Amino acid sequence: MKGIIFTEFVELVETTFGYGVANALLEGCDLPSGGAYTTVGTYDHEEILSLVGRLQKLTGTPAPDLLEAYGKYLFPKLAEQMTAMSLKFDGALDLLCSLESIIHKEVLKLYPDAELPSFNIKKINAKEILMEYRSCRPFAHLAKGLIDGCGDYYQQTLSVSMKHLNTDTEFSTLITVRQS
Amino acid sequence: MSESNIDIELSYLRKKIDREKDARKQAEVLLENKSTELFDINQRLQEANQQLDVIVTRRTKALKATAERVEITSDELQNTVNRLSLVLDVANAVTWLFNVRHQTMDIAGKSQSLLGIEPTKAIPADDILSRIHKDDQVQLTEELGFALKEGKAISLRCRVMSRNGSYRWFLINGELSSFGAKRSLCVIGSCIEMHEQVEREREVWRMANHDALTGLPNRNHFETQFNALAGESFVSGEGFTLALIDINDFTQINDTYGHRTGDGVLQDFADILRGYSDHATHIARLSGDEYIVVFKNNIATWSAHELCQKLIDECATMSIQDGERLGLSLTMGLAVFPKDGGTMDDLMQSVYSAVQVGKQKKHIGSSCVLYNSSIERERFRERDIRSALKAAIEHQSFDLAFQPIMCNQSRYFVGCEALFRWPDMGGQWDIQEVIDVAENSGLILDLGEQVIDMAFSKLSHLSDMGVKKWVAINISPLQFQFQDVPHIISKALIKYNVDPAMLVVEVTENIFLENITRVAAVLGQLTKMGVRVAIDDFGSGYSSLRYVQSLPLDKIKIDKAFIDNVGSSAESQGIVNAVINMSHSMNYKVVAEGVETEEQLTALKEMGCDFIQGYLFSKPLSFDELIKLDDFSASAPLVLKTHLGRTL
Ligand code: HEM
Repeated sequence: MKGIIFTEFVELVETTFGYGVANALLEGCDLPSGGAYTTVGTYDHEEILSLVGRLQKLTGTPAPDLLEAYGKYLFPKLAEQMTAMSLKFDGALDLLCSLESIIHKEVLKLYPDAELPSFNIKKINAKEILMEYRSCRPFAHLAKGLIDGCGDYYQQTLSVSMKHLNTDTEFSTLITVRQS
Repeated sequence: MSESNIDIELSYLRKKIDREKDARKQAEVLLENKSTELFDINQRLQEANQQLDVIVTRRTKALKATAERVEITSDELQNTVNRLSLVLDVANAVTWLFNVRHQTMDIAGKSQSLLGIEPTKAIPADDILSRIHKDDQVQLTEELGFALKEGKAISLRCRVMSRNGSYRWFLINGELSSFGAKRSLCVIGSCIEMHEQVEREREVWRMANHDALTGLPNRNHFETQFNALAGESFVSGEGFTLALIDINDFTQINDTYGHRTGDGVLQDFADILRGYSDHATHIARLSGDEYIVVFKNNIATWSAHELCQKLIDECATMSIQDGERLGLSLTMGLAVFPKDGGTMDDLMQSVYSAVQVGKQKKHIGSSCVLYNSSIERERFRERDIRSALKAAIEHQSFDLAFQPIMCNQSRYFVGCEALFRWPDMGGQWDIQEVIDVAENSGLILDLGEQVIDMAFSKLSHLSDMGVKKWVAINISPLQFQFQDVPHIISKALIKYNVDPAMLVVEVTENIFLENITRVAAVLGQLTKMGVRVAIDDFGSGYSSLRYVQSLPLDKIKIDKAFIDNVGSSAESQGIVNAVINMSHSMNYKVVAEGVETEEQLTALKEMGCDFIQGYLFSKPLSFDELIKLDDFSASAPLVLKTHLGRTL
C-alpha cells in the first residue's frame, strides 16, 4: 500500500488525538517499517489494519468509523494529486463514475505496484449510482469516507448506504450513492 | 500542559525525527533508484527514438518514392489514355462496356459522329441493339451469349445505323471482364468502323465470283456453292438435277455480227436463264459458252427436262439488236446428283458426256440429253480408245492405206486416197469410231500431222519413181480450226520436195460449220500454193451450195450412200445426176466413191462422172501393193482390169 495512506493516517492521528495517542499507537504496534513512512514508499497494507485496530483500543472509537473519518480526511489530499494528474470532473457523481475507468487507471500508471480495489459502477439515474466494491483488503469503509470527502470537496450533499456481501475469499460491498 | 505530557511529546517528536530521518533515507534510496531507473528508461527511450527516426526517415523516403512513382504512373496513364483516344479517333473506333447486371452500355470515343449516339453512360442495351442491322442482330446476341456463358471472345462484323440513318459496317470485338470496385461482370470491347474495307472486300468477292459480262456467278463461285449444295443434299437425302448448257457454234455469231453483238446476245441469254431462277438454286456461267443450271430439289428430272426444252424453244427465237432475229442453238446435258455422280467432278463428267452425245448431232439443231448408263459405257469405251490412241500417237504406230482412183474417160488410175490405218487397233473398235474419238478429244490434231507427214513421204516416193499420180489426204475440220494447215503443208512440201499439184486436200462439208470466212481464206491459201481441194462425202452433211460455189474447189466427192443406190433407185440416180451437172457447171470435177458394181459404173459413165473410186477396181492397198499395181505405176494407158478380173 502506498506511503501516502500511512503518512496521512499518522498525521490525522497526531492532529486529532495528539502526540500522546500517536506515540502510544506507534509504540504499541509491532510494525515491520517501524512507523518510518514516506509518501514515495510502499508498505504492507496489514500495517494500516494494525494501526486502525490499535487506535480503536486507544480511543474507543470503532474501526469502521475511524476508516470513514480517515477517508473523509484523505480525499482532499488525493484530490490534490488528481488535479496534479490533470483530471477534472463536473461533480461528485461524475467523479465516482470515472473512478475505475479513469482515476485508478491513471494511479496504476503512476504507481505500477499500487494495490487497488475494483469498482463495478452502475448509473441508476442522474442522481443515483450503485458501486460494487471488491478487494482482497477490507477497506469498504475507507471507500465510504472517501465518497463523503468527495461530496464535501464538491460541496454536494451525498447520502451513502452500504451493504456488505463479504465472502471467504474476497471483501465485497454494495455502496449506493444518492445526490440530493 | 504538564511536565510529563511535555516529556511524552518531546520523546515522541524526537522519535519522530528519527523516523523521519529513516524515512528520508528510505526515500532518498528510492529516489536514487528511481533516478537510475529513469536514466535507463531515458537511455532506452533515446535509443528507441533514434531507431524510430531511422525507421521514419526510411519510411518517408519510401513514401516519397512511391508518391513520385504514382505521379509518373499517373502521367503515363494520362498519356496512354490520351494516345488511346487519339488512336480510337484515327481508327474511327469507339470502346464499349456492357454492364451485364443492368443490361446497359457505356460507350466512349467519338460515338456521336460514328454511331450517332450521344457519348453517354448506361444506355439501355436494347436501344443499342435496335441500331444494329436486323440481319446481324441474331449473331451479335448469340456471340454475346457465348461470351457470357463460355468466356469466348466476341469478334464479328455487323452493320450499325449511323447518324444519317444509313447502315455502315463495323468490326465488333469484345471479351468477358469485370469492372469497378465490386468487380461487376461486364463485356468490354471495341467497335471499329470498316465500312469502306468491307464494301471493297465485298466488291472484290463479287468480282472474283461473278462473270463481268453477264453478271452471273462464275465457275469459281459455282464450285464453292456446289460443295454446300452437295452437303445439304446428303443431309436431306434429296437429290437434284443439274443441266449443262453449251451454246452451239457461238463463235460464228461473234464472227458474223461482231463481238459487241455477241456480248449482247450472251447478256440476253443470261437474262433468259435468270427467268428460270424460280426453278433453280444456282445459275452460273462456267466459260464462254458453257452455263450451268442447278434445279431445285423439288423439280423432278422429267420436269427439268421439260424446262430445258422450254429454254431451247425460247433461245431458238431470241431477238437481237437492229430488229434482226437470231436463234441460239443449245446442246444441253442433264445429270442427277448423286445418282449420276456423287462428287462435283463425277457429276460434271457425266453431264459433259451427255452434252457430248448431244454435240454429235448439233448440226441438226438444239438437243437436250439426259445422262444414262449407256452414255457411261460409251464414255468408258471412248476413254479406252483415247488412251490407246495417245500411246499410238507417241509411238507413231499408224499406217496409211491407199485406194486408187480411176479416170472415167482415160481409164487410167490418176491418183489415190490415203486412208488412215491403225494396225494395232483393238478388234472391238472400228476405224470410224476411232476417228470420231480423235476428233472429239482433239487428238486428231497430232494424228493429222502424222498422217500428213506419212502421206508426203509416200508422195515423194512416188515422185522419185517418176509416177505422176495425186494423193488425196483427209484433213479434219478441227485441224482447220486449230492448226495452220497451209503452214504445215508448205513445210512438208519443202521437206519432201514434191509437186503441190500432186496433193489433194479432202475436207468434209462440216468444215462449213466453222468460221466460213476463215475456211475460205485457208482454202484460198492452199489453192495459191498449187494444192487442190476436194469436198469429201458430199451430200452426207451440212451442204450449202452457196459455200460450194464461193470456195476455190477442184473436186466434189459424192458420198457412198448415194452411189450405193445408183442403178437401182431412180431418186438416188437423179440426185447424183444433179450433183454432177451442178459441179460441172461450176467447173468442178466429180468423184464417185464406193463404186462396187458394173451397174453403178455404167450409170455413172452415162452421167459423165469424172472419177471412180471403189472396190470395183481396188480395195484400199498398202503402199507396196499400190506401187506394184501395173496400172498405177505405168503412165501409159493400159488395158485396165477390175479386181474381178474382167477386161473392160
Ligand atoms: C471517492 C473516490 C475514491 C474512492 C471511493 C477510493 C477508494 C479507494 C480504496 C477503498 C482504496 C484502498 C485499497 C483497497 O480497498 O483495496 C484506495 C486506494 C488508493 N486510492 Fe483511491 N479512492 C478514491 C479516489 C482516489 C483519488 C482521487 C486518488 C488520487 C489520485 C486515489 C488514489 C489512491 C491510491 C494512491 C491508493 C493506494 C493504493 C495502494 O496503496 O497500493 N483514490 N482507494
